[in-house]
Amino acid sequence: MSVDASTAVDAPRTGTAAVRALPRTTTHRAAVENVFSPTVVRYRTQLDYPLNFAAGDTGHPMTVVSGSHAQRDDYRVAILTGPVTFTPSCIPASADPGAPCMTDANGPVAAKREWYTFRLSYLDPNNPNAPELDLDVTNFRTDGFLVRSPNDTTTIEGSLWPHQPSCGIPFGPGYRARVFIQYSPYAANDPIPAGADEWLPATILATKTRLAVPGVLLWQNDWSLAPSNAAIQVQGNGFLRPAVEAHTLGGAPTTQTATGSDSYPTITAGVTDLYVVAADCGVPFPNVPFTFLSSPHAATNGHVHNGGVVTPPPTAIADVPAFITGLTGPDGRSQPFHVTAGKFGGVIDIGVHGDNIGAPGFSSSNQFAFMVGFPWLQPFTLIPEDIDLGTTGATAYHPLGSNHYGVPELFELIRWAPTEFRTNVRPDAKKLTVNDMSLELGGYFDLNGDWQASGSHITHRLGFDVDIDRFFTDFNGAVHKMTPQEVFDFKAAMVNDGFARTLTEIPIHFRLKEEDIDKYLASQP
Amino acid sequence: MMRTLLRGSATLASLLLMASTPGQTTVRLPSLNIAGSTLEWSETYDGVRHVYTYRYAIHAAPTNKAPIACFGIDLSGRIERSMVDADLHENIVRSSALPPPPATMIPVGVTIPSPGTTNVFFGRQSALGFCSRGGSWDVQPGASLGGFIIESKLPPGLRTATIDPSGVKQEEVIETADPGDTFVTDDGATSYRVTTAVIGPSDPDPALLYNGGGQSSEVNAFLRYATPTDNRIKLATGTTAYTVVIFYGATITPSTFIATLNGIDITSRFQPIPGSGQAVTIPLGAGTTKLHMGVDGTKASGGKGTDSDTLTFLVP
Repeated sequence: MSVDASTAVDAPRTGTAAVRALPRTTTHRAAVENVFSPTVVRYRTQLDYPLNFAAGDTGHPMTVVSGSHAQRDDYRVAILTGPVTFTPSCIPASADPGAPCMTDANGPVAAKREWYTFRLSYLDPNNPNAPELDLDVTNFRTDGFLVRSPNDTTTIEGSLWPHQPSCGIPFGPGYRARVFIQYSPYAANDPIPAGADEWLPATILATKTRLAVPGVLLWQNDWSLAPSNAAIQVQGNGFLRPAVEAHTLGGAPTTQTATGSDSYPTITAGVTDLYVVAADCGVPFPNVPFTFLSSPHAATNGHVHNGGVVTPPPTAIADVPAFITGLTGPDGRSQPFHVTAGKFGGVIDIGVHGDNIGAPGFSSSNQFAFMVGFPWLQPFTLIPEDIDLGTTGATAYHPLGSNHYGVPELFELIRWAPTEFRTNVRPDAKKLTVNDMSLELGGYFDLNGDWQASGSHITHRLGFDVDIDRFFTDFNGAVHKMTPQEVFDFKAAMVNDGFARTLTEIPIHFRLKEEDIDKYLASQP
Repeated sequence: MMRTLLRGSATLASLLLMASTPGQTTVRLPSLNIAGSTLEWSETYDGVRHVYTYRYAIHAAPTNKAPIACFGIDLSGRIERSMVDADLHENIVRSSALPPPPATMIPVGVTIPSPGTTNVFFGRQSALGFCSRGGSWDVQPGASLGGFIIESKLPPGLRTATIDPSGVKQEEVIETADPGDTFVTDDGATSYRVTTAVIGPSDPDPALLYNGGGQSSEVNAFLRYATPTDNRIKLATGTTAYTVVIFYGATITPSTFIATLNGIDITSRFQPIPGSGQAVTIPLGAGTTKLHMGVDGTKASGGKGTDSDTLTFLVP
């Protein structure tokens, strides 16, 4: 940093009357890096927060310029600075790069050590007599906090002094971030004369309403606290069951089995009332103007539909309103929006925004994923032990993986299938191939990507059904197609050994036994 | 889009197009109706080996639309037992590759007519299943097949049995269909399984057996019944037979046992071996039929007693 002897700068502002008047500055510039551009920053989430600040990682901070605001749900609000390099005899008079040296009557102060103090505090702007709240009391000792050892003359790469907002601190303005500096004319091992202050300017002790002032105020930033994004919410049941209606296959009831039959369960569509709610830390905000916007999440639940109908019909997943504006009521809640699930599983993205939450100028936005599906579905993935199984059935409409969801009992059924086939039908059979099961969230499995019920897959909705290809591989790698007799024998084996029931479909269709299914259905309210 | 239905197979002659939508066709499947088919049973007890032998034969009704390929018998029990009992004869090879049945399934020895032609299943629901392997013994309409034997140390009881047709006729049609096709049967039926009751190994709770009443509890225990569970039994119109499952007390005197049906001596139908059970089917007609049984036995005190029970069957 260069020294510009011709430039005079103003003294740094003191901020409060309790701060001792600063020594005047001169035309000398500090031959040091000072705390280097301190800023108030906020980290929205823990993922944004630096893992290792000492290694130069500052994470993903958002700057809180003076007069703006942080939010209650910020992971941390912090003072972030650049490096500090100590050069004896020139103590910076401000926190700006290239700041002049602090001077006294003899010119630049004769300093051998320096000491920074960082503080985040709150002063109630509506009550001058209210005590100043040190935000870091529970987290950091900022009173006289020693940034670096008095004996240390090496560079400090930066500083980060965070605070975690909570419901314990109020909304609105009154928050301030400050950096103080003190210097010492004595080295660490120097004797300190009787009556002399080791650190200058001397600390002004705390009063009943104000915190101590540790030297010169180098920098200050005032900011406000806004409600969290969670202050605007959508409440209601966010996970509904899709409807499963009484249905038929080609005019007959759903099932036509080799060795038994059943009727597929009829499930009433899930319903809920959604509300927009403005509240934070348990305090409701009435009369908040809000905007509610929803749209189906593209390509969820396997409905990639590449080449098919990408956009679901309005009520295919659920009749969530697409766009609503309104005001919250006295209890912070909007009027309810009644929502009924459709027959398809899927995700509907909901965005909600509220203005003037808690105070004019405070806005919050929030995102929600409204889901329709069956909560018990899990992905079926091949494990190393599945040497006798392969998977297939991927299409442009429903890519690989999206078509293999089910319940653990179905996975067990699938994993026994090769053994059953080999033991009871073809001793030379090695490998079977698993075709469609259910989609990730269940609901209609529209084979043609058209958001229409597909006859042959009308039962692939709850994770209880699986198709097995008729083609199998023998131990020499040759591929064979099961004969009708072998298909029947295979089905009979799976049924008689108690793993499955069968449906008449192409390819071979197995379904869990009633008792396995009933267990899941009973878990649904 | 219309598609040609007959796909080069004479067996598909009955295949009809029912409806057609793009990419999806509804295809008719032949009926597999086997209503009227039965599973005949008999039961004997070897007092030396203390083993019950249950024999079964399939009778396929002449009106069947398909051969019978499988049947099964519920063998669920109350308590866990070892599934393998070397005292029980069998001629099957049990697969160790498949999961074992529930430990409460009643242990049995299984003999099949022609080893290698039958898949035998010890199912996860405790059902013992028999299926024709590769159609090797499919029972054609009007035909019968016996020789299925179960041995067990557990006494007889009423069990649920199922009889299933071969689905090969349908599979031959299904094979020619396309993915996305849906199916409907010629007769609209959704199941062709026949469910019936047979006598098979059972695991009754002795405390729940019906003692016939009339005497002291100790004497009443000389003759007890799994069925019926009351001395007046109302049956459906047209019922022509009833199977009494009787348990003989361990201290009875077999030579004193008598049984009459509406006064006619039918003692010879019973095999009163002390400590055993027996299933005896009696004929019934419309109206009231009375089955009287009596036996002497020894009480714990050393004294004698006579248990005398009369069961009244009412067929409207």
